[in-house]
Amino acid sequence: MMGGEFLETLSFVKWPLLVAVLSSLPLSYYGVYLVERRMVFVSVTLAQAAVCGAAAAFFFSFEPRLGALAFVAVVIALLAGWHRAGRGSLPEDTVLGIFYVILGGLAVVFLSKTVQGGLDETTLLFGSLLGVTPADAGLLGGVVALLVVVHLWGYRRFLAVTFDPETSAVLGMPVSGIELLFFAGLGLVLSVAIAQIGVLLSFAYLVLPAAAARSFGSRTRSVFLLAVIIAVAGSVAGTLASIRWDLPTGAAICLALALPLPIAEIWRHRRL
Amino acid sequence: MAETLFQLEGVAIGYRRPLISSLVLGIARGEFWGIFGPNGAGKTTFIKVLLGALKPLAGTVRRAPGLRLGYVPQLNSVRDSLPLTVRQVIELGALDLRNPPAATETLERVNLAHMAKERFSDLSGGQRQRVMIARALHRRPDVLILDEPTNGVDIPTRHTVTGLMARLHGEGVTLLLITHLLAEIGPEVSHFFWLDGRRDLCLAGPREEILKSPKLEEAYGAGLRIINVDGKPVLTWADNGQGNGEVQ
Repeated sequence: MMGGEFLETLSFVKWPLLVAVLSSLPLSYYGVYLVERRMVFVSVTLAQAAVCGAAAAFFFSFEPRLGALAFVAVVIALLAGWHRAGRGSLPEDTVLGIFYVILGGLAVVFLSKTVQGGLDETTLLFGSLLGVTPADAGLLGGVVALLVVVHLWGYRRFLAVTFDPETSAVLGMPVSGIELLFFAGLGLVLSVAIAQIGVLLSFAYLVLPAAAARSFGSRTRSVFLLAVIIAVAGSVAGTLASIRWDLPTGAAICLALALPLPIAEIWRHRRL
Repeated sequence: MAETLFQLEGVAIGYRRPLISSLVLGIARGEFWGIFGPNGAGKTTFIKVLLGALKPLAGTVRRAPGLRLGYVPQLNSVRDSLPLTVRQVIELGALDLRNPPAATETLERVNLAHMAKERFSDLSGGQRQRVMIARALHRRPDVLILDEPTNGVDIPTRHTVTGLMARLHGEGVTLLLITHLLAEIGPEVSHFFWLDGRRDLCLAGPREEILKSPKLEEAYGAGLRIINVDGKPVLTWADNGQGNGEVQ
């Protein structure tokens, strides 16, 4: 590909790239918490709920983001209720697996019965970054700005509840409310971005940058910052690679996000 | 007469069914309570009810207004993989206070100032426990609650923790020590609360009273011994081959 042609293609992908970067900011940040809390399957279940909600919205002909938001809210409420009721007899990962399978199956059923196109099984998995509009980017930018405000306000509270939920509860912190706010923020960004980035890229943003950053970083802030930098760099590198070698954008970003992992492992072993 | 900090009247504790069904108990300022019983007896549940983190199934719990609490949880309930420094751990324990003291001041008080910049996750079990106690003390508490503070720590740390509790009691801090190890109930413990939620049994009151109570032996069955340490009666378990006085 010649330089001029490359630049022309780059201008064509500026909105997809912006949406990828905007999605990567909150998801990689959330990923640090979720990896440390061993809750990555919660995030992928929420992403699946968002996809299923979007598929249901296509089937019933209303705004996909509202469908995604509704399904995510229902799943968060069900999981919170299950926790409050003492968790029952099944392990948490089994319960999340059950949710994941049902939501995935339901999403495919909705799509198979949807007359109008716009969302299919491939989009479920990889998203449709190339179909992004400036309005999509604007809405996602608004959500990211809101989450920045929430997390600047609640940074220390989220850390305290993550580190020691029992003491936080005993000392009178509204732990359930803080947890709800945390997952509502995650659900919101997934609902708004899922149709564009799909389940796989959502999961990649949530897991891969955090996994690499915890090896590179030695302090809380540096781990958060590194996760975000890795996610943004992976988004840019993956998008550019997809243009250069004509690859699917979402999949290329996933692979670019995985690249720092072996380096991080080597770094961690040398530091120990 | 010392101020009553907690008053429980006809309280039932538990989650769905009561572990202890009718509890009457008063805790006054400056007392040192040893709360003990077998694993699963409801000790931590009792503390949650006492502090208002869990509603009692029945009865009323009155707490003195403006009470400042410090809580040391069981070490295994903490997510220690977070890359927090010791200083951050201390500071996160006082988020609700308007003017918390400087973390360094608290760390100096427990001889941990040199560790302020260390990562909590890099510390040994004993060092982590000392940091968690410092975190609770950072709140300058009226009441300090310690949940199995010597679980999984080495013997020197166990002595450090025990010594620290005695020192704090001497300074007038009200202490509630939860343990399943009789060996932890040292001579400085002024009041006993023994409970066994599996049998809906409990005994509570001043040390001397409880040790004289015929119900104690009845509750424990054979094997309980009372020995004198520095002129004070101390509960111990007749040699069970374990040597640690674990409540069975």
